[in-house]
Amino acid sequence: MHPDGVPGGADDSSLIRPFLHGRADQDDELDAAAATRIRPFLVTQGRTSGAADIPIEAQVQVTTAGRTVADTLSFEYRDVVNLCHDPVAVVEIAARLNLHLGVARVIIGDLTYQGLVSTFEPDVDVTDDVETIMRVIDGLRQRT
Amino acid sequence: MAYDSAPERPAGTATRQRQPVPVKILVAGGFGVGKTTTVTTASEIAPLTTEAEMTSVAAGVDNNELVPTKTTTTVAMDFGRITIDESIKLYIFGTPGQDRFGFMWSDLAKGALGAIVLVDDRRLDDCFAAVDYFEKLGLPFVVGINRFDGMANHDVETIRWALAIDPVVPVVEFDARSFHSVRDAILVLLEEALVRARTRQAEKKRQDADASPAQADGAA
Repeated sequence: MHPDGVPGGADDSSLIRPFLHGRADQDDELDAAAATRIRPFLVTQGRTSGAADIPIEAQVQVTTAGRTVADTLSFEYRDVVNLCHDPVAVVEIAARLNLHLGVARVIIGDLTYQGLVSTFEPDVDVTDDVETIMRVIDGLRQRT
Repeated sequence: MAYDSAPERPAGTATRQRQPVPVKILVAGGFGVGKTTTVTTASEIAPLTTEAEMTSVAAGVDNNELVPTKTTTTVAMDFGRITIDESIKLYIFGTPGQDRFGFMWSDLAKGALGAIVLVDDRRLDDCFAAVDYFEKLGLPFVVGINRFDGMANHDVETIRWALAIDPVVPVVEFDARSFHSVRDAILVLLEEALVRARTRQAEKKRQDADASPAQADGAA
């Protein structure tokens, strides 16, 4: 079985060994490259995008399904789900869980895709929304 | 496994109606001018900080390049929140960035109602980058002079002249440690945002009115 154990193996080993050798080299390179890519974003399995367009103030809230499976999720995913029983902004999730904003976005993107949280992005351009701005003004005026 | 089969989409849409609308404003300015204090004073929660990637554009006085060099840096971003009512949350973001950097805060600026540019009247040039940015973006902004020490090295008109801002841009003096003072500065900004929103709404109505006879012609 071992290449060296094959009878009359000079030819065989010359066939096999360089192949093995080459493959080992290749693996080393791949591992090294993968490691440098993944390290900063270990939590997100190396992905740095996919949900980068979620507005930082978008509101995230756990769904019924998310509540049900919360305990089976891995750390950061579970933390996000547990934090969002009431609507919480993407940026607030990042801050409260000490996650880099980019990492939080990827996790929230995954959870949204899996239906474990719902992410609410205001679909109207709020800067043109006279009524909303007036309500903010009125609300602030009443603050003391 | 469990989550592949569960019918989440309906659950997600069911909660949508109850989701509060988030709105945001920015607090910009140079280093040490009172951004964090302003955010802290305004916020109903202890202010939070998060790390984020920001694309900075070198904009120092020693940079003569026509094409600015972009670099991505990780910066800390402070923010706070005010719950206006059960359906609106106002977020206040302190913009990161240092004196010698321009910035591209697309994440922050997108959808923002406006910005307060804080000015330290001993170091006026620190806020130029912010003023430039918001002018280019067409985002409503007010200039806030933080008079926390009661000192005034320059009066409002001098500062307005030095910044060379549009006469319609409000310049307010305030104390970043006082809630009422910060709130009033935010209100001045929101009034600006309201005027812009009304103008755009009126333009849109006019355009729609212009467009509808044409549509009628097309249909006939």
